[in-house]
Amino acid sequence: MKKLLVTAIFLFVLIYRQDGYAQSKLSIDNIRSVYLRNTGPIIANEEIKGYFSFYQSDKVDKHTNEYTLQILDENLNKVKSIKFTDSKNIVLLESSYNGSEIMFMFYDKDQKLLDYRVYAIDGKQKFNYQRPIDKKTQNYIAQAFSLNTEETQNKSLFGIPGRGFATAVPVRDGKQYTFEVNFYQTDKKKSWTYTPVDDQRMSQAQYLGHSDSVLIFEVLKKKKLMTNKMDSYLLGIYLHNGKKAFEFETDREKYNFYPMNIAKFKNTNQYMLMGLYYDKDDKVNKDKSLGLGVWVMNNQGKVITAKYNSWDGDISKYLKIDKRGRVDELGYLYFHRIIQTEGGKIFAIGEGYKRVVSALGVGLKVLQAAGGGVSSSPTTKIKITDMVLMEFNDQFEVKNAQIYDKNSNSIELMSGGDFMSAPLLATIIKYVYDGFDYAFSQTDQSHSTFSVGYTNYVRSKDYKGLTFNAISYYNNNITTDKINLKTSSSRMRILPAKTGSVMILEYFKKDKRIDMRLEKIN
Amino acid sequence: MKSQFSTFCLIVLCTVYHCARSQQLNFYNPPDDDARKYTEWISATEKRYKQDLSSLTGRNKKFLVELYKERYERIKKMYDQNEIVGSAEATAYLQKLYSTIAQANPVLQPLETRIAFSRTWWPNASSMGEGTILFNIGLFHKLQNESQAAFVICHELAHLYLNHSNNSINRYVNTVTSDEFKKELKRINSSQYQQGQQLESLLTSLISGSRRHSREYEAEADSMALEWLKNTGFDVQHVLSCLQLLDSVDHDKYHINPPLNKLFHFSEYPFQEKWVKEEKSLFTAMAASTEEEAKKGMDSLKTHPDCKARIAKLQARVEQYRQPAGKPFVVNEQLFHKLQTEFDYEIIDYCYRTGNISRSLYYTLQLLQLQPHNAYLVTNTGRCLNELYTAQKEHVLSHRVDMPSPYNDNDYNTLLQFIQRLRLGDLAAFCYYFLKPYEQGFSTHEDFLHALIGSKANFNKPDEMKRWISVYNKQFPNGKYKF
Repeated sequence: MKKLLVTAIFLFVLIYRQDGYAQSKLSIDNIRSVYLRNTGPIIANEEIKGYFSFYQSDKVDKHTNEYTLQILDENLNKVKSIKFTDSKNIVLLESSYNGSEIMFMFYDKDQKLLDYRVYAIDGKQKFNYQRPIDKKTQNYIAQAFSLNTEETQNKSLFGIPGRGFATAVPVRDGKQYTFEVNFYQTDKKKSWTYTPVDDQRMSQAQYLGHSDSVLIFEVLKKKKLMTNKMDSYLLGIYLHNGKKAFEFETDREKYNFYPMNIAKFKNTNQYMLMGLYYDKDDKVNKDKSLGLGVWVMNNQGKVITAKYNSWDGDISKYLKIDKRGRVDELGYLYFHRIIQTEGGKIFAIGEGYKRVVSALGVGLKVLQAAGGGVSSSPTTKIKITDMVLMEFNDQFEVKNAQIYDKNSNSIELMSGGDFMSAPLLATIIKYVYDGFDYAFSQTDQSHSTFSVGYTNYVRSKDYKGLTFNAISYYNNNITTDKINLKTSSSRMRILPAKTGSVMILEYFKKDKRIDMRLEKIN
Repeated sequence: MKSQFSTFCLIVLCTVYHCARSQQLNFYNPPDDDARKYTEWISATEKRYKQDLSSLTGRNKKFLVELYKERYERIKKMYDQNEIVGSAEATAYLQKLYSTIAQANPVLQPLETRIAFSRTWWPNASSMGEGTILFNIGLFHKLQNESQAAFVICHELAHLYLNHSNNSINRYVNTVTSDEFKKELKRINSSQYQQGQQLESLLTSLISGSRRHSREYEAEADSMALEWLKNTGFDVQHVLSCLQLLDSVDHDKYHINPPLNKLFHFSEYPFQEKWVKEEKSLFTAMAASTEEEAKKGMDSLKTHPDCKARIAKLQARVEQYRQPAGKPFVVNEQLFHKLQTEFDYEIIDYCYRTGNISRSLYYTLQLLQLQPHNAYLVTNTGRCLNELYTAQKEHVLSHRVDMPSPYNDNDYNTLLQFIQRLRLGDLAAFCYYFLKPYEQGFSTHEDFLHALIGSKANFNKPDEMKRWISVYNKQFPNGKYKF
């Protein structure tokens, strides 16, 4: 009867007077089940062009559900509702837009296959590609997709404007953990697959970008599954036939170089890689890094420029560095993103992390010792500290560095954590613990502006709760902003939005409703 | 289509000409509402509400009470939020139009009608079903003559006379409380599968039934309105011109795309083309195809029949009733135009007062093209920019501006897109440089000074701000703003 009354009032409003309302937020009702990850941005050329929201809208029979794929534009206008029935065991993994088509990557648990569905912009399905996977690979994929990555970056599906879509999928082949790259054409049904021929026990590919002829990936390889030693390679694959264009290890210059991040130069076929560098003889696990290195390379795999900024030299002019290569108070730096602006400046967005004594770990050790045992619990924990924005000129020389304070978080480490190297710790914090406060960066197509978003928990007299903070570059100036995020919703997520805005997504469980709104950042 | 376009151009030309003629209205101050009239309306509305409630009987009484209460509260809210125009002149004029119709049609006299202008911008008129008839100034300011306004009033009176609104409520309540409907709802609730689909189909049939009746009501109201209009001195020919105008009424009155690259270009702060650069939205094509698709299924969900169909139904009778003595203006032509001009400003002002800043700014910038040195329009541009600045700073901009949408007018979308691309510093700079040339000329206007001081504060010019605050305090020692 209550439902009836709600319906009644809704219709009553329709009956006796109809008004027009300006839309400031979007609500989607009748959500039967919700998983906020099922809503995500549709990205084209680094810009947010819209959003998809995928949810179960009805139950058709014992084995089948009706699903709705709600597509919104960048201003949250509902533009298409695609309804289809399918197995109750399908999961939407990712979506991407390539300028003329949208591809959705589904995983069908029943049929054990990845189903790539291509939709034209009129919302009609053009065709689909299916890739069967075995149980081992299925688990490996599930593991890979559960790892945290930035909202503005897909993990597996990448749109290539005017051509199609590339995918990089983790694959388990016997004892080998490897990957495969697929390319799906969208003007006609045609595809190729690249499978690495490698005797390494484990290799993971991360898509870096593409030129008009080559797809470029960073491949991390390990000889043994349990070793901490990882070698970094760059791999180029020809777009037209899926053959290897180049592959080489990133230690071939003066130092051992461990790229943390990569950025494509605008309007060229060149790439910039940034990361820590070590002496050739150093052990990454034990020795401190020498500084921050930058490589510029072309898509034939040739390193054109290599620049090394040392901690105790160039960088120490702007940041106070201790003997172990840590920034005073901040600890080590992990760089989340590098952005080259329209004007040629290069910004690296970093976040500090340091090892501190864990009262819990020490306490456990003491207790175990008193009982005659030996505790494997680490006695140190990780403290996530402040944000850092480093500016480089077009010669990759450090020109400025600014620290942005935030409240620190602590992460208790797993067994063996006491002995991990700084780069490995950063990887663990990012991918396993989702421990960094950095959320995402967004920029426009021309890179005339960018914003870096991160969260912070504030306990002040005026406000206690989560805040979303932004560091923005616009008109050659850097500005900061803060949005309080206290809400009555059951769950909330901040998503990237069109340049200069963020999207706030809230799920109200009691009302079975999702609210989305855009807020501009200053 | 061609003739429609010509008519439209004629309307634009007439209104533009008239507006240019009315430039004597230099600084717009919203007229004072007649408090006595308000009290009278509210008590009459309340009295009618109580009467309606006491007349309710039967098994659906509880449900009907709920819906009548909802309607009453909605009307009361309009009064409380000053949506009803209460100026003595406008009210008296509308009343005069009504009484001219009622005198010629005695059947209307026992209806207890309360007719009022609503300050809302969208072109519409509505009969609430309990005696209240609202004529939106957003429609009135687009009409060409009194005969068209009289037809609109007759149409709404016909809804009231024929009890359409209450019939809709009763029919609806009878349907949803019927045993058959309840049984169907219960069946859907207990079904294990396809609940959503079944519920959707039930709702669609309910809505489409209600809309079908609604379209029938519209045709009935048109027909009866014509019968009443023919008894007056108004020209019945304008029934057709009014319906023709309604066909394109969703377009802006002035059809001007504000030249943002000129309005916001300053030598100290040059305009950046990227602010207005047209970008093909990812979903432009998708939205268009969705709209096309939606249109196919929308016919059964429309509340009003097509204007062309409405014209076709009335054309023969209009020819038959046409009299040489029928006049486009019967009550007061001069006042009709005066009110139209005032309503141009009232729409802008009301949008501003109710926080719809993007629309207020849009209409202001359009009018500013016709009256570039109008102090009110300059001031409103400044205060809208200040308001956008504050809202953006406090992250509540989404409450003050509409979002670009495929369903908006293209020119309005351009402004909305522009606002979306601006940063806080741009808004502050625009306001500062936009108002600066008018500092000396308009400083006798209190609202201008307030906007000017706000622009100095936002653009971080503390010395200039202090100087203008002292000017304000000197000129307006008991002013409405405190600094």
